[in-house]
Amino acid sequence: MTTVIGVSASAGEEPRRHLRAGLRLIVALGALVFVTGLFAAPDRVWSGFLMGFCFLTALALAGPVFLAFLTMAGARWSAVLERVPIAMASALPAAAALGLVLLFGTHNLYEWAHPAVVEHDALLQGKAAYLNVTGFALRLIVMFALWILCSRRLVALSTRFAESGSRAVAQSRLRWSAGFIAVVAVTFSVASNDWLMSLEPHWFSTMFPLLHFAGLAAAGLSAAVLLALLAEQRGALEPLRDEHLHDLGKLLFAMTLIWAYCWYCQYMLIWYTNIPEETTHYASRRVGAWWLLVQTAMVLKWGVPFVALMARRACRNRRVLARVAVTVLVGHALDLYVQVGPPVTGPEPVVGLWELGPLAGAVALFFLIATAALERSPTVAPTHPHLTESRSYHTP
Amino acid sequence: MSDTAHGPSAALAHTPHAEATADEGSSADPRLITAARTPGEVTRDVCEPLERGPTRLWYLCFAVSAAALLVGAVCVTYQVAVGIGTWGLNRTVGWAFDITNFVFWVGIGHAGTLISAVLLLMRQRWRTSINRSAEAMTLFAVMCAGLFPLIHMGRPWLAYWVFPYPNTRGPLWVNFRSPLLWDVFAIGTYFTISAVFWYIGMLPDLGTVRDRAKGLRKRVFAFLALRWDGSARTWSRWEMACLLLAALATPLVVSVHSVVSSDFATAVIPGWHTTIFPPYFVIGAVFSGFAMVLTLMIVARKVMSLQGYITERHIGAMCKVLVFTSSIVAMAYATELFVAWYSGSPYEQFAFANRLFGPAGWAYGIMVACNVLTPQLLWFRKVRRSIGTIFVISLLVNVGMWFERFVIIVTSLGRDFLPSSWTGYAPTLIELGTLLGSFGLFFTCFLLFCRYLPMIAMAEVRAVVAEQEHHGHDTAADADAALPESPTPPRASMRHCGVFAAPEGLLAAVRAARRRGLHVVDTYTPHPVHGLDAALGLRRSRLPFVTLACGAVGAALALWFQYWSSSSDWPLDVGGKPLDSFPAFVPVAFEVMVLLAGLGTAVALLWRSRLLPGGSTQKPAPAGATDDRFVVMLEHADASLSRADIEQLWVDQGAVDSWTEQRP
Repeated sequence: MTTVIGVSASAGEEPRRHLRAGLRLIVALGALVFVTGLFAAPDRVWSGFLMGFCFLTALALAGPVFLAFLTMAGARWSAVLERVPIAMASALPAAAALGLVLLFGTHNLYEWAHPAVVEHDALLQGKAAYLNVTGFALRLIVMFALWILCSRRLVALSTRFAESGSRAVAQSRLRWSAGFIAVVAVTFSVASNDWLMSLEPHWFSTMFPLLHFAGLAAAGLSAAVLLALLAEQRGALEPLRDEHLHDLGKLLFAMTLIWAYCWYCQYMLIWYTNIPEETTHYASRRVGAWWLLVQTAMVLKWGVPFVALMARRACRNRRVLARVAVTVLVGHALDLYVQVGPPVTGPEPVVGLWELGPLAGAVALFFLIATAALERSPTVAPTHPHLTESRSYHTP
Repeated sequence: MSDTAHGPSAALAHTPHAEATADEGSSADPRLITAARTPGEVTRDVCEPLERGPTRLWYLCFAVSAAALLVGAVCVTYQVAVGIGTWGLNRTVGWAFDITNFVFWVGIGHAGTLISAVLLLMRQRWRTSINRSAEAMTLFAVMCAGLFPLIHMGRPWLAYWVFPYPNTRGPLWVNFRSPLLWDVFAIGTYFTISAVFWYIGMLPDLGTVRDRAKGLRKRVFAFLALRWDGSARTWSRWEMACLLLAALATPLVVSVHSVVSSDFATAVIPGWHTTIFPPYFVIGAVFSGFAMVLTLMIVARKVMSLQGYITERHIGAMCKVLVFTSSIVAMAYATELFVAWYSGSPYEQFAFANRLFGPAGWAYGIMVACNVLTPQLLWFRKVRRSIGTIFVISLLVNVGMWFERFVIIVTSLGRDFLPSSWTGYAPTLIELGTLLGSFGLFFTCFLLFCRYLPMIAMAEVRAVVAEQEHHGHDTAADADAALPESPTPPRASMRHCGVFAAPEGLLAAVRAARRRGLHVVDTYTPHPVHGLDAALGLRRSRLPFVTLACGAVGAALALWFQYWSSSSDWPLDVGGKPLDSFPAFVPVAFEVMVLLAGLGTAVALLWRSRLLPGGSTQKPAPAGATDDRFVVMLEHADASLSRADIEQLWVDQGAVDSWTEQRP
């Protein structure tokens, strides 16, 4: 992440190559660490891989989700930066590939994937109809198939709408957007249950999927902000107006706030009722350094954007916006770590190459794919019906 | 009126707007507001029904509502006199009808805030036709909601005990760790801030009514309108205040139903305690509230002949919100069911099996049919255009959401952990009468509101009309920053006023005057004019700092007070919770923060813009400036400029009228 921003401070052909080379290096190192780790420290490296996979999937899926919400809200201000969420969506196949790799790690990650454990655990036997390796794999494949199919369709419709501006296409784009959001609502719930909640298979919370959807929105929007600023600097995106930045900033402010709200509701209700089945989740995270990490994640993912983006001037400042976006992404990584860490590594947090390697590799892979897609894709068609309005977008 | 000014632009094809209506609008007229092309027409259409007096239909509706209210009054009097024993409660089901009605009514209120605040922040312009009445609905619904806990107290005359105030019973404070107390703060703040938002937003329209009225009506509205003058500075601060109040009301509305949901979710009762409750209740509230707005608007547009203001596009947009929120509610139902099974907890599993297949399974069926199944019809455009079908669907949602609360509350309590204590519950006639009475209160208040106050936010609708009649980039605006500074001339004794029929004329005149070095004292307009602040060189309002400061003080004060009273002045162990229960102190701290921030913002606006009742006898706004006229007021100290020169400036800019007056 630091590489991305370090380079973004200067423009030109040279840093562009540096950025891409840097990202490639991180991806390669991540892959190397992962493969080595499979033999040296399989449990730890799989936990790093799960974090990276979840991070990459959230960022890639946030692209079409953002696009669909903009369409449903009838937004026109966003026409000049519509290519950013489209580019983000192009990382979905890579996420799917990582998902297929994850299927080989279920034994290292999930307690319910051990038949010997399940045999002596009545609760897990009850859940075996859902929590089993075949079901897990099938659900993962179906979910990615749906996401890739729908997002391809959405992107194609958006492009056609930009070229033709026809009402029929607008209609169809709207319908697909609404349908896609409905599909994501169900599938992403299943995904967060499967991939993260089932790390502690005895624990359950109805808020969990929503909390992760809010996390997806916050992290995805941060990535969109970063990609937009990067592309603008490199001339891959036309210059943005202050109003565009302001709107992105306000959205980021809102999404991080929603995430904090969901987090608080889940925590407060479990703390308040103090039911043993539920408190296990926080009991293992309120010990020692884990609790400090949880609080740090809260500060990074909510505190910093809340304070920094409250002022109008800050939202319109590229430097502030970029730094807040990076902070939120770091906070998201930390938040994933406090989800995945305790069940895998136990009461003391351990952060090392085995965790950071695959995580950084996956995130770098996302930015590598998305920046490449953004620079490859043609500029917004001049026939885009909202382009004039978006270019002269003005708010009082 | 000002047809000359609008002629050419009105004839233009509305290309950018045409696309937006691709889905909902009839292809004949792509405009959002079809009834008016000028600000004056908006004034006429909204004010004339108020001045004419009510129709026979209104009297009929009022009689029915008042009768229902009377029934309620009788029931309330009886149960206060006799006691809560008149209800159908029993040992096992200690909370049923009253709390169901409470949650139902609080939920109804949520759409008003959503329309006025959230849609304002999202710049959804269709909100302008319905926000006033939806906000009024919020206030009345919260009043109805408050009725039930008040009665349930048994001795409503001691209701003030719920507030933390120094008392004669030693260091005895309310329990800040109780969600019921959070309710007091949440509902109290919600009512106060909604009322403030509603009133501040209505000031310009009260000014319009005042300037058209005569006699006693004029005196009453002159008092209510607080000397509203429609000056550019007032508009600028007013718009900022509305944005700030919207930004406060948005998290507030989320917090209110989250707190209401905590009444249940902080309990250990299966079916009540589940972590998704706060957002699930919030979205359910918005869903039910939107259904009620739809029900009322479909009737009101017909009764008040406002079809040109609340158009099929407005109805269509509300339908989309309804189907969207219905789907989220469906998602929440599904999540609850799945996790109940997934939890592996026999208590959870039984609670939901009982909900579906137990003795009250029929209620669950009604709830799913009304909240999930029928609203899905709104995916089809044909249904979204059939007003009759929408009306039926919206009524069904109201019924379904009432049953949702009933199902959650009663079925979870009725069959608890101990089968020997299982019972059912049926409301008594007194309880049914009270519910009827609350509907009577709601509709009576709403009818009085329709009768006496402008039901449509005229100022905001005028701005929408102005925009749809004249759009395209205002190219002259880019040069506004370069206009010369024009400091107040020291010895000017005369003020020159030019009157324009359209905002474009006003803007051009302001720019022309400033280019000549004249000092523009102020402008007076019937709606906020886009780009006027920049053309006048006004500084951005500093109200946000007031809001921030008041909010910070409120949060700090509330946190300190909760710590001090709960862990120092009156340390009491409640349910084994630690004395310094930070997670339990957050809701009240948040509510007090919003309360002080909102009140501070409103007071700062009124104080800075001198919006106070009474004062000098001078009329606040120039004639027509709250209706359809755009007035520029100039001053100059340049002796070489004659009165004729100024007259010439007005004529050049296309003024419809002008005058000169003594500087006060």
